Amino acid sequence: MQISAEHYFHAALERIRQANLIYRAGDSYALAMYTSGLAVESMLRAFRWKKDQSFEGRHDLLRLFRESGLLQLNEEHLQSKGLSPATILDQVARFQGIMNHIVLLWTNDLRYAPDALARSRVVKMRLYEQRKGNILKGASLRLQNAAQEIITRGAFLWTWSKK
Amino acid sequence: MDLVEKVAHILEGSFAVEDIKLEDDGGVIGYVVSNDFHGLEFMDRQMKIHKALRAGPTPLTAAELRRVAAIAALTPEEFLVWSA
Repeated sequence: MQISAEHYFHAALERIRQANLIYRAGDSYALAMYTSGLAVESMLRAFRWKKDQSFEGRHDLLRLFRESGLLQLNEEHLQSKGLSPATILDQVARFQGIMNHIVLLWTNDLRYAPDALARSRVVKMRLYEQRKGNILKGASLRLQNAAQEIITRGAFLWTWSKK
Repeated sequence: MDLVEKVAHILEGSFAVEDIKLEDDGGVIGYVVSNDFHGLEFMDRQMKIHKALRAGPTPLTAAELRRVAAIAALTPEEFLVWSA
């Protein structure tokens, strides 16, 4: 199957919507997490594809984030709005923080992980340990929210960069 | 001193670094592991990294800062699982 930048882009929008549906169905939090990360991976691949059409088989989000040029494009947009350098740097750090969260919580192996294994992974990281309730559900929601931010920003920049 | 060395030097001087790995191939990416990130939200960790890179005796220039794409800030427990 030949997948283009547009395909990756539209897949990203579909996957984040599907991640939300899976999350809301309940009891499928590992799959919801996997789908959220897949949405981000698709968006990063969409931007990367516009610059480099060589196949990248690794599911390394840090590397894809760099190669997508999304961070630079975001910065260019903020500069075009006349924001101060300090505000832009804060926004860049915020963007990187969101990616940091996704990079830590997501792994391609989540597609094979039952919820119990995914929960054990989050517990071992000692993330959210002060929080009560279903720790995997919480991690899934946090990952989904972070992914949604990347998708929303990516979709905006996708259109903006075409102008 | 190249950019990777400069970034590593600043981070090692700013945090109690347990592990660090950075690479620059069209932008700096990598990770830094420290107990200093315990209890911090990811956004706050990133703000701390940015603050460190912009301050101190040898801060990054604006152009250098733009080449820092993504440095994952992890606690040792997170790193243990993440790198498995």
